[in-house]
Amino acid sequence: MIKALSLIGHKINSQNITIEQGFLDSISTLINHPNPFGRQPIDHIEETIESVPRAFLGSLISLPSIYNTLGLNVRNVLLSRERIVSHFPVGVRDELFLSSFLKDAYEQQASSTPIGFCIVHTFGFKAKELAFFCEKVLAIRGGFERRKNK
Amino acid sequence: MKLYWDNLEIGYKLLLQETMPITRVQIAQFLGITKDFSPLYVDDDYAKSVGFSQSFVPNLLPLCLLEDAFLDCNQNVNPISICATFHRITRPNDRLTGQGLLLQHYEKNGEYLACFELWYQNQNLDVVMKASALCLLFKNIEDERAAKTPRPLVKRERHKELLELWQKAEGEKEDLNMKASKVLETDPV
Repeated sequence: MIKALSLIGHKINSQNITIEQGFLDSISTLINHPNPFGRQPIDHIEETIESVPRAFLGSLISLPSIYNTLGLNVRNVLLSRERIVSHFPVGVRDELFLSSFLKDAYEQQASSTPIGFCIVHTFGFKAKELAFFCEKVLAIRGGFERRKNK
Repeated sequence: MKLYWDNLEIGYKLLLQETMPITRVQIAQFLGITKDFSPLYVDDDYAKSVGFSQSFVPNLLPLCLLEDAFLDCNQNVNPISICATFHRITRPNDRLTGQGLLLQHYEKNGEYLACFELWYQNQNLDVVMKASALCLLFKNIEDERAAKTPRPLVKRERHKELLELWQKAEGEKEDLNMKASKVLETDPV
């Protein structure tokens, strides 16, 4: 039995998070200073970003928990496609309610080994207003793990 | 630089700033932020054991850099939708060069929209990722002054479409719950 297939259409995770200044500072450092611990000193500190970059919105939900729910081994998961629709910026001190659904899961035969695909939809609410939507297509090398029926 | 809808023509080209070589420190920082700790991104031996030549960069990191470069290049644009597909693996120390092309621009419900095709190439000129970005723009400089916001805002009509997507997802979940409860009613455990 494949766990992910039995969860198609279901809510697979939901959580509340608050965006902290430290989170935005980490992203700012990542983008502006590729190697903050390098040998060359940083000669100037750029201003921190004001809102979470769109590319990170889909990763605000706990990915390890989603992999766990879907029965995926993190070692085999690759991101194949990412779609983000963002209508309102998400900034520091924003309280978000995130909700993820498994839209689809299927397996395709590649040249020698199968590849599994999971389509995960995540919705992000800010103050009861839908702020963003993210679609992740996860590719699972080797396909889904089969579990024996008890 | 600032972009206005009135000045755009199909085929308008964007040259995005080249990234610095992507370092392993950057990869570690990224994994710390996303908490997506896969050994494929940090452990060369493991990556080799499963058929890759070495560990590689998480796909979302080039997308993040692309978005940053795009917004640096177009300071008054609001990308409301970005869809990225990843074609090749990016390795540590790769330098990425971004380019873009305007595919179409149109007006709908009082919003001025432009659709860009964006892509990143590595130093070997291999395309590593492609993205399409649907952006809201100001019509012209007068429109920007009147708006009094740094970027154009989404109108209610567009937001309804997103809400419908949410209602559909919730509806599917309820349908499944209904089906499950009917099965339980007819076939009690």
